[in-house]
Amino acid sequence: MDSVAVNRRNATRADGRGIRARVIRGLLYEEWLARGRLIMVCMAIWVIGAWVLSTFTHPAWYMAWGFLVLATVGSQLARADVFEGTEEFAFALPATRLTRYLVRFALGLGLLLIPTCVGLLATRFNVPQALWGLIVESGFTEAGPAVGAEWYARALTYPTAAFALLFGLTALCQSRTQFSSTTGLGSLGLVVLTVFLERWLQPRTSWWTPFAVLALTAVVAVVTSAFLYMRKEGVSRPVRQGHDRRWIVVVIAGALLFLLLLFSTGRPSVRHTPTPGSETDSHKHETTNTNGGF
Amino acid sequence: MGKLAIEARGLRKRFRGGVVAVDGLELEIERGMVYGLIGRNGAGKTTTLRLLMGLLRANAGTARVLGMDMWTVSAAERARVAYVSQEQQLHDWMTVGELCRYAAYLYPAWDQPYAEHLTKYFGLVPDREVGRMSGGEKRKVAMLLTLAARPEVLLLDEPAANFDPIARRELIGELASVLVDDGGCTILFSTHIISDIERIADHVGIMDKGKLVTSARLDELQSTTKRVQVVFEGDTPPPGFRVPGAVRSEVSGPVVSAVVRLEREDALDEVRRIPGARVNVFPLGLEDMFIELFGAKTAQEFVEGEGNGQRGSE
Amino acid sequence: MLHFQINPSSGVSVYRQIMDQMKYYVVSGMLRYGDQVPSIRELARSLAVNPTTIVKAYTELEHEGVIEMQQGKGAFVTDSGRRMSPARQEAALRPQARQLAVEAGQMGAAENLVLRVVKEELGHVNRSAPIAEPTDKEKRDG
Repeated sequence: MDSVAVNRRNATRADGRGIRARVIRGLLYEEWLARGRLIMVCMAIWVIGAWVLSTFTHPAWYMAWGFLVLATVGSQLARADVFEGTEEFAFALPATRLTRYLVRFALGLGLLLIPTCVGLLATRFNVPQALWGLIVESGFTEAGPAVGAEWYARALTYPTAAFALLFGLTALCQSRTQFSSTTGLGSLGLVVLTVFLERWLQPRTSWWTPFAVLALTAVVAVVTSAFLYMRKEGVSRPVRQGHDRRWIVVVIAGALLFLLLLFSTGRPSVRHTPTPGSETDSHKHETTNTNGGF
Repeated sequence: MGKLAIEARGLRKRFRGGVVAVDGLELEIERGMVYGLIGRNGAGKTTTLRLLMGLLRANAGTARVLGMDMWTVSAAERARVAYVSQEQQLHDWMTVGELCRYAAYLYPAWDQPYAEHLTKYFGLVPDREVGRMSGGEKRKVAMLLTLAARPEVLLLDEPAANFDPIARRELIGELASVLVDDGGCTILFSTHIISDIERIADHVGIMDKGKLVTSARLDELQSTTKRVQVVFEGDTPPPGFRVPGAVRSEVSGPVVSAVVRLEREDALDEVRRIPGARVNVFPLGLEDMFIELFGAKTAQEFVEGEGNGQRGSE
Repeated sequence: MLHFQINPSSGVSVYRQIMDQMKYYVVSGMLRYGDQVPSIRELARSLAVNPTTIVKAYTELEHEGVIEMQQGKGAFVTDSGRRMSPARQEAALRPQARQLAVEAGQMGAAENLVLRVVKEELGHVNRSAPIAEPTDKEKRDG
């Protein structure tokens, strides 16, 4: 009669670290089931765009890809429990709120950062072209254009910071409408902040200040949000069947993209402002290109 | 680790809008007890369970399960307690098999053979998505996950709601099996189905307006709570007559009918000795007891009730 | 497995109901000496009642000598109840007799009526299972 109790006692006496690892694996398993296919699609787009077709020659492409991931996988990560109304179930499971939060955040961050970093490095050193060079003579082997360090910083920081900030904000939402409005206002706020940073702050300080400020804001937001999330009450509101306001997110994301791409074409202030950093960088690019080309 | 599996002291929860769902709740449940919580809708049963489980934050007081605060404790400790509620939703897009695999990661004591047995026993299809199941089947899945996790404490909020009578009997039977396999398992469940409490619970708690009004062993409650009818010879009972230990009583002509908590076997002897009084004692099922305590009050009943002493409180 | 009819809402405690029914089966001969009765687990599960109730019933029944529980093998019907000393039999029956007396007194039933009813019931029971005569030893101890 005691076999169950004994079995259980032995199981829980197993080391705490082992149990935490299992819990994390369990949460990842759930995310895989929920978003595995979507993640694969995003990765496929990256592989095809960056490596196969070698189209991601400008860092701005990574920004676009980053926002795509953000709009699809990223937003789902934050809102999943609330949208499905499964918070009560999820929070009653053994995994603590903090673990749940961190696993989801790390998943989104990893998905964004790793391909972006790898890809940016590859773009910087024209690796895809080099690889293609092993097979063909021209076409895909053309080197990408010379780009300032700013763009690399943008591609790295903007989607990631946006993900971190929006994740942090929306994780605290209690309902669908809250989620929609938070995402909408959050995105808008981000756009305004970015414009402000680039237009006002950057000329007055160094080229890298906007990105540092964004990164810092993101970190602060995530840490604060994690603390607040640990105190979040888990009661699923009934899932509303009404309007799906996701289109707001898409519009905002699109506007963001549009604005930033607008920055990239014909912004004399960037090209002509003689900041020592960018000039040396462009020089560097020219030299590497001559060496790297076939 | 003390003897108490579940403990609430001065527990209080007020929702936005001013509704005080739980108001100074005192609850003590020892390990191994099977405790049935009954009360009218809105009495605060669901909120109490949620507070214990760490789904809601209390405004005041403490709620402890196995001596721990479910908000602050690690996953390994939390896995010792399992919870099922009426309102919870499972992930619609997961199948039963996937949910079991998911739970197996999270609960160290997960019993997969038992999960498979329950899947068959409840008549569930392992490969079907939860979203495609009926309400009752979804609840069965939730119960399955809770039971197969082999927890030390089960917190069940109306576990058999939406179940047809057969499924309900199966569920209670399964709980009985669990108790045989694991005598140390503590079960706290809230329900409207009072016959289920009479079957499986050994303790009963009655909640009203956010407080625990009565908490007693079920057999003690059953043996000491009776309906007593005293018929007098004249047209009315003697002035100032009160049935000792009456919780609620009603006078109709020469008949005094009361719901009584008997302190001792011979508590009614003094009534029997009144000349011309005929005393009948009827057993009172828990449901009738509950209805008597909480049913519609007439002004007279209220007055009589006040005089004879209010509901027993612990 | 023999059927046990349990009504948890009747106001009579469940363990009492089980005991009464078990005793009825034994006395009426449907359960004979040496027959196996359902295990605690089986009965708890099929009746959907708290196993401690069954344990309580079985323990009482064992105490009264109706069944005996053998470690690892299960529970079986014994006949040692019939071998109870008259003193013990009297102690076991007196509370029920008192209850009968009180109710009869309340109704104002005549003593003859009460005795006749008791005799008739005893007759029904005895017809299905003859009572064992106490042995000489028991006569001495009683």
